[in-house]
Amino acid sequence: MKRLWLLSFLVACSDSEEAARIDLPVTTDGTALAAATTDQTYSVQLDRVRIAVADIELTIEGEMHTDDARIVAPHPGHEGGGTVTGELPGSFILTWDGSVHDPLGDATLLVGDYHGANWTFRPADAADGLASDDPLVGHTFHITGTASKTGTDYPFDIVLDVEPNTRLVGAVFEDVVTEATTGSLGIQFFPADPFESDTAFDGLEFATLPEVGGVRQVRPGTAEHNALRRIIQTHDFYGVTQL
Amino acid sequence: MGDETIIVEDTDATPTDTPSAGVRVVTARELELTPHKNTDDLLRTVPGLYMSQHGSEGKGQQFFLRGFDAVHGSDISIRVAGIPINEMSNVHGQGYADLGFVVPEAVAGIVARKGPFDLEHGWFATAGSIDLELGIVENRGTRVGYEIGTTNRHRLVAVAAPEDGPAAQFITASVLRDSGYGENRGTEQASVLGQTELRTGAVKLRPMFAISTGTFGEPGVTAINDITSGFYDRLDSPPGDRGGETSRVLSGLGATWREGDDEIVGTAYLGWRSLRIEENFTGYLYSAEHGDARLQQQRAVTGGGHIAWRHRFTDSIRLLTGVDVAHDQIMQGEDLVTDTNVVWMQSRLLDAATSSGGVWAGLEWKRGPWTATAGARGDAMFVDANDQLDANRSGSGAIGLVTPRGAIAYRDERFSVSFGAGRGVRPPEARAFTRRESRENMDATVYDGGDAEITSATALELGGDVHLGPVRFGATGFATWIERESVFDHVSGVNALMDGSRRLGTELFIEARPLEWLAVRADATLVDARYVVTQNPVPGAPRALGTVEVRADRGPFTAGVAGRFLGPRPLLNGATAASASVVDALGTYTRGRYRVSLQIDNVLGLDWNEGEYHFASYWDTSTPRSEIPRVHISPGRPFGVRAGLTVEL
Repeated sequence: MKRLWLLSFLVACSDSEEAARIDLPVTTDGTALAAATTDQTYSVQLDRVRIAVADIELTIEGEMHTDDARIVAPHPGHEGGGTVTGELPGSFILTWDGSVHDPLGDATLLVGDYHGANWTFRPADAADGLASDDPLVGHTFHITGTASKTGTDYPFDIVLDVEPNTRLVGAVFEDVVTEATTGSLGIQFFPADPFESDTAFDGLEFATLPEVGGVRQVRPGTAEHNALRRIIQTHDFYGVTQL
Repeated sequence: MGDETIIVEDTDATPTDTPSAGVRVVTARELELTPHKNTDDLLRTVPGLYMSQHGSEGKGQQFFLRGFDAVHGSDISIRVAGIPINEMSNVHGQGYADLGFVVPEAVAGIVARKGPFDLEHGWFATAGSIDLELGIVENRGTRVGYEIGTTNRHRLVAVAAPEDGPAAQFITASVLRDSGYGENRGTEQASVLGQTELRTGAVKLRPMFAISTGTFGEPGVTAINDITSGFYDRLDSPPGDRGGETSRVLSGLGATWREGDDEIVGTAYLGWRSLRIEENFTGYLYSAEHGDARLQQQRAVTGGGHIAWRHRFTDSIRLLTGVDVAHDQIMQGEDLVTDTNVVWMQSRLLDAATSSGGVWAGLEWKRGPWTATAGARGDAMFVDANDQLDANRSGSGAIGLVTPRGAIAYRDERFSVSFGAGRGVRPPEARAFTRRESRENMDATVYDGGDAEITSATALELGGDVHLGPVRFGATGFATWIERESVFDHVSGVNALMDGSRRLGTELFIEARPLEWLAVRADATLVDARYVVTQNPVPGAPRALGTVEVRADRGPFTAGVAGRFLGPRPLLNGATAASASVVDALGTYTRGRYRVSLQIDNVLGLDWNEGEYHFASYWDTSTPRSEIPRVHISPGRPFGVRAGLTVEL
């Protein structure tokens, strides 16, 4: 009898199990570069947006779903944080120009209900494979496009710096990842916040920006730079989706 | 279950007898025949309670009960001699319950009440409550004992309990040194615990005091894939020789007055407490330069009291009413420290005062085999939290909640059935009352959480038992719902509301005394605990627990064997903790003034994990850093032997 009792305990033992995980390629999704109208009534059409980032993290929502009035969630991504259960470590240049780019790499994700994405902004450098005269070298953002207002076009070229180790927390990534998930993850840039009415270029008076060779410029060290940087580095203008 | 046994006559800790099914009374003799090396181990006699030590002996346990991860005590109210032990706003965890000061020889009984059905248990009694009675019931006299063990354990204990004195009169002292198993699991402890009893007419007074100090290793937990890669052994201590220090001075006065139709039972207490913990669970994940070690320190002065008044209106109806008050004056700090213990960032320095209280009123009705209690209690707290790092963040607030509770039972000599319903309350910690500057120039309630809130759990329980000759068996079903759970997120520094959760479960037991000298008891607890929105399981909470206890008491020989089974446990993000089986045993032989004892830990010598957690860590810095969570383990006690000799003087 005693042996039987001991045996039943032994047979019932099981090992620890790690959570299921999969690898998915990550790329940029250029389809989101639609025109946006700013609070200064400029219609902004982007030609190309490039951002130097590092260490992309993907987070699950956990057990907090704010459906009461006490903690208002203006849009997904707030209550950022979450738990990091997916990642693509390394340094990358995110490029949106309407064309399809090679994957940045394969992210590893635990299966789960995803809610957000994080990354760290950084200055681009020679290791990114950029030409030495590329305007992005030594900076974090390079944005080109055209702003239009009352029939006048203002081509622009914007270079932005971001304080070292500035993190973007809570880009929208509302998706369920299972062991059967295929395809890739596309990082999106939204000129206009898809959940609120603001745009990344609100407050910018393109007509009064310095002009070089017919192109309006924003460069580090100016008030316009600082104002634009403060807005464009928030999570409101970024997302991740399954492609 | 439903047992009306009174362990120590006129006990202060159990002035009422709530007739719910989830009550387990463990007598002094049963405890003596339970394999144990400290008071924490005695709590393992509570069916459905799982305790996990992720530090080493001397640190507070992590508790799991009825689908709750009560962490270090946030959902289990624990009292010793009627004095609440859960620490309000401990820096290491809300409700931190450290029983290291209790000399196990002085535990005269345990009364465990699962569920929030008892009117007298306020804060932290969401999953249940446990009362430890103090006294020396048997083998009174003066004795000294020495124990030596295979972990280089040396324990000296002295007990003085006048043979003609009441059970509650004693003084004990113990000194312990144990190197522990594996790396950095050692402890050194010294405790003195005493109590006496004074009677004057209808009044009985029980002054008690305790002085305790100790150190313990903090070996952290080890990632399984760091073990399989050979980077660590399962008994290694990844953070090196980090550890903690714990001290307590506690005095209390229990009082009982009975006359005519009135009975008053009360406890007053005053204590000083100090806790210091160095720990590192994540390695170099967040700071490659300094490492992620942190130093937590807490000092507190706590005083309070508890008065219960019972007045009999008629033969069948009694009034149950009373009041709890407590004041906690705390200082707590948390620093990030380097590998050489140099502070490189202060993350918390808080002075706080918490004044809390509860009042309850209800009626007890008894007629023949029927007993019922019904009433309500209100709990409230006022907190003044002063942030010493940023005065702008200091804040204060007052909150309270009224909770109904009741139970009804039918009991006769062969059969009982009972039903209980009630709500329990968990208080927020003092730091939840601090303010946080709003980000993005928005209203603070938009992005930065809201006010601190009381978390309440609503529970139902239906159970019963049957006596058939020498056999008694029973079953209880329970359900608990938490609508929203208020959590202070230490990472972001905001109050957040977690989704609701629900717990459904059953507890089964059978006990028998096939021979006069032999008692056998087995129980099983099955729980399904889930969050209601995602349907994810509550991480860490055991789904299946089982215990088989055999106690033999024949002449000069006694023996006890306890086998405990822990089923696979869900962890965060879909990971699963291993199941485990552990069998411990003890035997004693008494001859004249001498008693020898032999205790064997983990008789089967199986590797098992006492704790498992799913989070990210980064220890092997030769590999790429990753923030993806992985399973970490805290190894359970391996095979070990302890031998003891006790001499009556």
